[in-house]
Amino acid sequence: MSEIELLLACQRQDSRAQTVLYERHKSRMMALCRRYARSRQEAEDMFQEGFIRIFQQIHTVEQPERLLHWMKRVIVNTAINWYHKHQHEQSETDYEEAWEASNTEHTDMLSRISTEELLILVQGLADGYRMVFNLYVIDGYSHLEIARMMNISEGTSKSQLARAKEVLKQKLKKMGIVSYGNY
Amino acid sequence: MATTDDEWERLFRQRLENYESEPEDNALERILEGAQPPAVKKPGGGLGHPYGWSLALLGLMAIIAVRISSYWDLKHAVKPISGNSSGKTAQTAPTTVFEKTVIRATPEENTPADNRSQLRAASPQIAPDQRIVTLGTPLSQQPPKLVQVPAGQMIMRYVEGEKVEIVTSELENEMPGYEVGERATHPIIGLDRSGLDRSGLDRSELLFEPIASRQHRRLFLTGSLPAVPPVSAASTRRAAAIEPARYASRPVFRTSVMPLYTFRELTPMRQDDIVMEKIRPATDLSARTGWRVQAGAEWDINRVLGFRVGLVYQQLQQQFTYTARALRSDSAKVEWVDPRTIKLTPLYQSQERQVRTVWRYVALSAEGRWQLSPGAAGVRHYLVAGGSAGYLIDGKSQQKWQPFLQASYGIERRLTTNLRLQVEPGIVYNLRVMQDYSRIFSVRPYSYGLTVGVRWQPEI
Repeated sequence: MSEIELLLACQRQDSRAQTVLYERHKSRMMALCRRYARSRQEAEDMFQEGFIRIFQQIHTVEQPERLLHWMKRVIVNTAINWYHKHQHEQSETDYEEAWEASNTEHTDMLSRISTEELLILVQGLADGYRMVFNLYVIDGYSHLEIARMMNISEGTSKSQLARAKEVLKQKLKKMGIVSYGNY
Repeated sequence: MATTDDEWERLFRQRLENYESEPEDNALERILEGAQPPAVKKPGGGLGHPYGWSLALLGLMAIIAVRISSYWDLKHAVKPISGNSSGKTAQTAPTTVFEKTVIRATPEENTPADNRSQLRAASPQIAPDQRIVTLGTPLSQQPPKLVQVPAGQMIMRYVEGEKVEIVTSELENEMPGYEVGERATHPIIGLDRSGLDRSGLDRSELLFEPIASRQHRRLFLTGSLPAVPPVSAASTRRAAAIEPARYASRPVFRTSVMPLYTFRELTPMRQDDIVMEKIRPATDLSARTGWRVQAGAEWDINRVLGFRVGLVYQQLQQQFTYTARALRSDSAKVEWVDPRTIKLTPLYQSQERQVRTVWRYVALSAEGRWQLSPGAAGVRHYLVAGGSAGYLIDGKSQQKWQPFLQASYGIERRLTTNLRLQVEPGIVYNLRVMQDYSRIFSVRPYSYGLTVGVRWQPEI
């Protein structure tokens, strides 16, 4: 089934086509959700809500070649809505302050740790940091777009990105120290 | 190795952009179910929020309290009417005049209340063959005489100001169907006030006439009947002023303040590979005290039970210090023990942190009160227990809604006619665990305190 046939069938609410579309893109969308969520459980909920919105709004898609991009955008919007909806649940995050006294130089661990570990590092960021980091670094949105999407100023977006990167570097640095068991 | 920020970002993007992760197996079914057009909800049909449930619970408790109070009102209002339809005035009017009264027991037990309430002259209806006997005098004026009662006769005498005692002799021999020793109530159908004209105010005679026509009625050896005082038109007009008190219709307003000393069950939670150690809760008074202010109203359901509702502002606090370090060691100290042995000692960098958290709640409170010394004129003792639905307005916690249970033992003392002082040592317990401080700790506070309040009853 081609992309355009799949799109047209999904727009007719054909459940078989919806299943095919889901199977085709579920892994990418789930990974996207895991980056924006604080935990796997939250990512599952976000994924479910995002796909429901995809199936409910797929009739608005006119260009089949933009379907994947559109789906990613829907999932990102779901994540942003999720962030706004559950923002009050996040207490003040101060664990990065626990590391700020460290003066050890940052060690690049990016190439030495698994992607799953990297994902867990990103998930551990504070909500605002994680959102801005994902939107800017991974998904390629500009600070202006991020500011509009998240109802923050462009300067806030930039500062949150800088702090997110700093926290990630500190965490990577901690992971990079070899314990005595590996000697 | 990433040397610049751009290179570092590029590496991140490369690793995460095309990363794939599998969702749960049954996710598709839930998604397809959720993608169906949503069912139309009835307006106002959803009360899923804790706010709605809390309001519903408080409303239900209020309705129950009002229903109970209505039931008690009805019960109190009905009591005086039984056996005497004009009881509202007859029971409470002062008995100052003694008069000659003719009382005749008849089988007309089902006389309508309206008819019985009207006092009629009865002396002309006494038949010659009826044995009308005497006699008695007010106990307050002289002690009752021991009277030899002839067979088949009864004597009614005053025992108390508003009571008469009926003394009979053996009638069972002469009047089959009557049984000595049983009590019975005879309806009063007539009063003869002619004695007033003859003998003045210092003499009282009660004439009682048993009617033998009812076989099932048992004659009594002794018994008591409420005396019927003179009924005047004025007292009848005043009937409305002496109705039984209506407990529930008079709310009593109260306000109180409760200094709290808070304990808590503190549970550190692992977060982000941070190890927390050396947790030392502060124990000094300033680190644990809080307070709870309450204002509301109280209703007496009856002499023993009461019901309170109120608006509460509550502040709790905690303070403690801990050290945090990474799960993995920061570095290792290497020492040569001998040429073939080295000693490795893991080193950690710990940081000491001090945390002070204050939670402020507003709450709706509903409590029941149980009087331990009902009717006591001086100091009253009582128990209070109930619950509150609190909403966090300030403080670090993920749980905005917090139910509390509170209980206290109270002592109440009258200050003025309308004002009472209440002192209640008690406990307030949080039902839900509060996850605090970036979800590093879970905290369950419970507080002991002393409530000091005043209770003001407005003039009717």
